[in-house]
Amino acid sequence: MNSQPAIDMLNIFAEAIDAGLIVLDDQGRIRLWNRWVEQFSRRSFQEVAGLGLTEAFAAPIDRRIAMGVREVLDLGLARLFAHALHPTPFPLFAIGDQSTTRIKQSVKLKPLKTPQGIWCLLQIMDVTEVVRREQLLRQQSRQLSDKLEHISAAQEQLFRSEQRFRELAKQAPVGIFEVDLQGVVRFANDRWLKMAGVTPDEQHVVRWTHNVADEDIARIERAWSSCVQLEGHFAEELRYTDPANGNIVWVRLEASALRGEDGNLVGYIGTVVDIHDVKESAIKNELKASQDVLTGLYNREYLSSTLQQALKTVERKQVQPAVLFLDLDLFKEINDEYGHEAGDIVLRSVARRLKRTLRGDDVIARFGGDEFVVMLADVKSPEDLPQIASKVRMAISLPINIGVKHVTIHASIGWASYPHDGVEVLPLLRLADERMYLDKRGRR
Amino acid sequence: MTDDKQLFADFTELQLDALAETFNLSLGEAAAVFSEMVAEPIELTVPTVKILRREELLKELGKVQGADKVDRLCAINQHFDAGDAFHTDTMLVFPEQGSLEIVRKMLGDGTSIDQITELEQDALAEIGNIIINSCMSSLANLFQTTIEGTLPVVKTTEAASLFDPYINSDVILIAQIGMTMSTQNISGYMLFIMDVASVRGFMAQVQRLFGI
Repeated sequence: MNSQPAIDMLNIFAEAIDAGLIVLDDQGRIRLWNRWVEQFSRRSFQEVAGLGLTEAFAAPIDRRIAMGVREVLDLGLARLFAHALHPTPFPLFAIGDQSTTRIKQSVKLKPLKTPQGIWCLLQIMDVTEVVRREQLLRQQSRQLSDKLEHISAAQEQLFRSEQRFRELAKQAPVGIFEVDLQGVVRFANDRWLKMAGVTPDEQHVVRWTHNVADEDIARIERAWSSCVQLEGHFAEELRYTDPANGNIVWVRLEASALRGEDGNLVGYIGTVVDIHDVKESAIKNELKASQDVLTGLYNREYLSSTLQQALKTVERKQVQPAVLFLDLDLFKEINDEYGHEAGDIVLRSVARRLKRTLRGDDVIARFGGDEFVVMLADVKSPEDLPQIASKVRMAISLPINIGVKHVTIHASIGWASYPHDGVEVLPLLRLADERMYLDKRGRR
Repeated sequence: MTDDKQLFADFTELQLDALAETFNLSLGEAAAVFSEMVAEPIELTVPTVKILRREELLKELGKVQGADKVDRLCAINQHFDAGDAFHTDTMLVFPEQGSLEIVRKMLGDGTSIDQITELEQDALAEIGNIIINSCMSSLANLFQTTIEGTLPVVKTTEAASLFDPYINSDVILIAQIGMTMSTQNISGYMLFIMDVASVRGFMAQVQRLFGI
């Protein structure tokens, strides 16, 4: 078969195809140089026909291509020249561009069996666009991995700080809690849950005031809502009741406003310290300071200050307080005859009977020795006073068991009422004292 | 006993040794070329020559894949024709990840893109092309014959479907040689896939070469 018709057929395809095609005969001479190559090399087939590959181009070609051509012609082996390893082997330039920058290429060499021996087909692809796309892909991939790295570093940091906080919250000797604006517990450490009597399941459901003792709840709710309104700092002492056993524990609770990224209040975070023992002993001490140790009644100082306080508020409260002054008759004789212990028993009995006879809001005090003073919180009319005094007198005069025998003791009583007898502490007490003496003298 | 096993039994031990040595010579040159390309020493294992059916080969490839069975294989394949003497598909097989590492090492680009890109696949084809051509041209040299070859085709796939183009009854002569890049811990294998007639033709060339 003549090779010329084959080359003619090849020519038809060669003109149509969007790739460079060059055919070299067994001597390495150019036999085909398609339109694509003409355009990109800026040399026509007429100029290069019959030339060797290296002479055909205006500028040098990659030496390895020439070696590849030899491999094809001598051994009949096909060769591939990847763009990545040989970026621009031929001096080929973009069409309509006068620049001397070579287009990016990928080259394939194939043996062609002909009657004249093995020829070589060179196929050149323009991979400029592919390279551009892959560079873009790489760039995006790098950016993405940079971003990922950044995010994972931030996550790591967040994880660490979260872990640090959790561990601190776990080990802290105080209760730690966080609530939203409604006061619903969003986070609490074990210690807080225990102090507030809240189970882990109730977290995220109950408000922090859930188990505040009945005595404190109204005061605390008021303080809390005004604190949230003012976005201020909250600090209160209050009692929590453990719903499991009814135990009460005194705590000091402090909370600070928690703000979101936009600076708006989102909730409160705070601590709770157990002040139960301190508080209990403070209450006891306070009581002790106002108490008469022997009888458990109030002492003189407490009564005076309470009376003073009461007189200040009479107008507003629309009440009429009064005082009773009591002195036990012949108490000294009981002391002398049966000893101080018997005297103490008598004083304690009188105290108990006074408490039982009078109302809860009346203040009963031992004034000293065998003197007692009662502040009656509100007397409707001064005419009621003799009746009250007579009730007291009766209660005291019942026999008292002093261990060895029963004794009977009587009390002398004087009274003074606001506002008829005075509007200040001292005049009222003095008048009641004087009237008590009159009573005592009258009954001897 | 099948015809194929019969074929294997036909050869003497001496002939099989000569066959192994022939591959050893040609693959040694291929490894030298590869070593030069990656600028790293390449360790070669002793070549083993086996004649297997396709399913037997798949079992062998389980070993090629190593412990990490999920890794797919990347094969660079070229067809060669030595006139009437024999024809063969010559395949260079790497684990997919390994092939990516090789090509990225050569191109000096550490950007981690999961898939091999078009240009990288092209570069890998050329690497395989150079290694396979070096092996085949040294065989042509030894046999003093012409061996024509096609362009390389890169295929990345599960081991099981790597041999789909070859029908079941095909015998596959495997001359297997391990090439290990010690710094990268990558092992590649070279496979020759021939039918019965080609195995006989190839053996004839080997006998002529060694005068046996």
